[in-house]
Amino acid sequence: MPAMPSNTIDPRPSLARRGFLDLAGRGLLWLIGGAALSALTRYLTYQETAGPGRWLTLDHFEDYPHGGMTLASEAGVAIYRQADGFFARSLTCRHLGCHVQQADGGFACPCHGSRFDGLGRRLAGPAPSDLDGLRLGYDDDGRLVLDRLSSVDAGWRLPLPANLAAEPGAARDREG
Amino acid sequence: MNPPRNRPNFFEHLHPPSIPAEQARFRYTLGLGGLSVFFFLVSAVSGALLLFYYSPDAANANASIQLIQYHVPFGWLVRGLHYWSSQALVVAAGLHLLRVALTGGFRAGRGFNWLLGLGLFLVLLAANFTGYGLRWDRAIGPALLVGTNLLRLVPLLGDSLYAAAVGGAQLGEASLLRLYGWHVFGLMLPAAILVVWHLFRLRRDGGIAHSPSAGQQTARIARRELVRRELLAMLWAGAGLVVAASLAPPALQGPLDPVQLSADASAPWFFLWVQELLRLGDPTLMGIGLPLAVLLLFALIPYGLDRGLQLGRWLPADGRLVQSLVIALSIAWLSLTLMGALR
Amino acid sequence: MTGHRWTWLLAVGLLAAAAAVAGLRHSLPAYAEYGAEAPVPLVPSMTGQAEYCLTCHQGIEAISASHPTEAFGCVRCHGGQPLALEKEAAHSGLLGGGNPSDFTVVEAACGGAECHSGPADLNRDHIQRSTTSLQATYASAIAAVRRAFGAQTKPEAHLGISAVTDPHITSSTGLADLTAFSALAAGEPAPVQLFGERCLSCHLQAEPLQQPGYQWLTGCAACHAVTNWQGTYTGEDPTIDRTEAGHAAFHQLTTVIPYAQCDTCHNRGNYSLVDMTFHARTDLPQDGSAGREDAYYQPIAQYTACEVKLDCIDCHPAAEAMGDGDLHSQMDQVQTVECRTCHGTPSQLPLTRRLSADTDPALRQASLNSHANLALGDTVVVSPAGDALWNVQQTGPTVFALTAKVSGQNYIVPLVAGSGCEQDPQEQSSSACHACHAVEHD
Repeated sequence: MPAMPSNTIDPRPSLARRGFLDLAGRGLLWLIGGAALSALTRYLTYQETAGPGRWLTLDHFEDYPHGGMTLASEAGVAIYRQADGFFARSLTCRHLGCHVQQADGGFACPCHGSRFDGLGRRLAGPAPSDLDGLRLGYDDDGRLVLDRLSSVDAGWRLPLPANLAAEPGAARDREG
Repeated sequence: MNPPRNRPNFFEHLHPPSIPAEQARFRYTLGLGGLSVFFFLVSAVSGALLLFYYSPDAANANASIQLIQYHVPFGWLVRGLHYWSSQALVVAAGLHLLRVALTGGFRAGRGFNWLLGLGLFLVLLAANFTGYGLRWDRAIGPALLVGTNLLRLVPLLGDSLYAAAVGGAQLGEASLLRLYGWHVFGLMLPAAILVVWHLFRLRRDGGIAHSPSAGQQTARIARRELVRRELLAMLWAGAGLVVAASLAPPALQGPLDPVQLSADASAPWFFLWVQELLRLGDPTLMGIGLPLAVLLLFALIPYGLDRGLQLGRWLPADGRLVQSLVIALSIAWLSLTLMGALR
Repeated sequence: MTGHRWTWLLAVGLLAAAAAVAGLRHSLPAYAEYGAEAPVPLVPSMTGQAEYCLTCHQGIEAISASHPTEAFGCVRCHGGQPLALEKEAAHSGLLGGGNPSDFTVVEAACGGAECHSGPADLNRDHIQRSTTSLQATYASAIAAVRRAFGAQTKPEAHLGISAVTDPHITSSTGLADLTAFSALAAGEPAPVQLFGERCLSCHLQAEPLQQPGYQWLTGCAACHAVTNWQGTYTGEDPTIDRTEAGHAAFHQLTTVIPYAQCDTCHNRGNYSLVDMTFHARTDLPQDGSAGREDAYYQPIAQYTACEVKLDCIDCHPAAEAMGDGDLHSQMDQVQTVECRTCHGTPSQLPLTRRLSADTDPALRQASLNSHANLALGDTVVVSPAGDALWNVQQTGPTVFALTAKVSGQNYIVPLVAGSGCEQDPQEQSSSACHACHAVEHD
């Protein structure tokens, strides 16, 4: 024990018998601390989930030209209409999320120089893959509906309504 | 020099190596000053957390608080802690002021620290009021209206104070941003400075006021023990805050619509006494004059109203004037507040 | 002091207990009482803002097909706080305390040029019509009683339940304004004061009597939200007390208003001017079990078979019940439908109108009823005031078909022309028809 004036009260017991808290008290404190940390993490990582977000209604399917590509930049996608149906390519670069722009018959990312062809296939640059495919569907009025939280492969197509043998109601492809 | 294992840590070093045991007695100080610091820290931390979700524009303020209260995990707890710690702060600081007044703690050269404490108390009241206004709900409308209009009545400075507080010709959406600026920073900076200065002066003036010891052999408490006592108090107070936040959440009504103010207009509890005073007569006299006079009286306590010398005990015999004054004013404040609350 | 272990254990234990309380509150939110495990969001397309009312009000019925929940949500009509998850906070700012059609809040809740305060020529000014109608102002009863006791000499009304002005007068008997009637106003004779205290319980702004059989809601809901005898809610919303009176049977609005709803006010008894009290009819059982024949009218009434087989709204269209937008002094200034409106006279077929515009109100009203089958180009009967009775259609040169609005039953309307009617062709009022065609009430 260090030297102290004789009139000082120092109730700290010897180090051999740690008297600050015994095991139960310490355990409780750790529990409370862990709970508090967990609560704090949940507090800080909350995200609002409800809101108009996932489904986005675009134009009527007839408005898209045959064999062409239509840029729907407010939706962040390019819509393609071919003989075998519709498909969509996200205009978000897979590298770090920048919005690609049209260039030289294809797309180019302004952030780090990734290049894509007219169908979104990766040509050059640090992007790890092609532009992502997103799922499309029809609503009751024949408008295209985009599922923003989807991911489909490059060969996926939304068949044109005339191609379907079943009744018009089957053309809806919302939930897949 | 202490061996490495026994050196004081950061928190211990914030305290003097030891203090006389007599002045650290709970029955003497009631630990109110320390509790005030604790509540201030809880307020600051919980307030900082609220910053992540609160939106200080009139269209979204109320909705953002509803988001915190009902949707963010433990948002209700953070908001509840912020509310209860700030109310407890006003109570603890007020009681601390009373304790210092009734034990002569402002004597023996501690007059300036008394003034610092008074100033700090005023800043805390203003912070409480601006925080209340940030709810931007129906209930605060009348309080904001009356409070800001009272500011206008301050002689000479009235219009400038009003403009600084309201940010326009009258209460509107810009006022919320002002309240936010004052609450989060404009008042917190002086508060932080005053807190630090107040504590520094406490040490510079010789610690908690105590009777000069007859000999040198009075018992003392080491800083380690002091820190442990404070930790104990914080555990108790913290538990109380969490229970209060869980069982008695602060209210929240629908968004403020300046056109229709709530039918039952009421000041926040710590200003109910002003509300009652304002019923009695001219607002400049009752709302500005009288409170300022009381403030002046308090400020003069160490500088003219008190001639005593005894230190270190409750209700010293040579301080009857100040004690009667303080007790009378406290009773008056309590009566006015109760009248306002029971209306 | 701090050396004792138990001091620390106690303090830490207290903090742990407090943390446990907080944890309990976190996992047992207020809405758990109603079975919800998580907040239930609804994002109506009209506002785009998430509302969480359905967290507690699970199972509440969709209000009507014209007000789809996915488009309107709840807050657009009811007000309140969309984000709150506790009852008091959520209901702060609720319009009309759960009934947004109450006339004190109806303009805020239901108004707007695209909604129920639309153009008068298309009959889309529902709020203007109902708030000026006699059922709302009670002007005729007030004027009649005041005249009976000498408080006014002319039959024209000056007072109504509340003050209302009408800047656009379209009929010859329309009034410019009414001031609020108060039983305590200086100069009112004592009987009129008694009238004001005792007899003002049957108008659209009145608090209904607290008795079974008299259960209706205020405002538009008085007719459009059907109640049962006890006034209890029988739907699926778990937050609504099913034993409490003062509720519609379901959270639903309808235009198919059965006679029983009208009879929550009408045909309940008689006022006596002698003792200024209401004498409720005593011929009915008190539990609402009386059948249509017995309950429809008071025993003293005179009525034909169709006046019981059909519902009130089959003959009294919206233009009569809701008014024409003007303030009137008497019922007969608004009510023009009589027996001859549908049946014609010995010398004349019923008056008709061909629906040539697709904005014709008759088409819109018919589309709200599942029994109707009206199309552009059809011909319907009109009242003398020009309002279409869309449920009576001319299907042939002398064939008129009526579709009952509530039951959906179809009838061919017997025409007076070409029948054996012996009534003087110049005396074709309804009371003349009743002389022969009234049925006996057994």
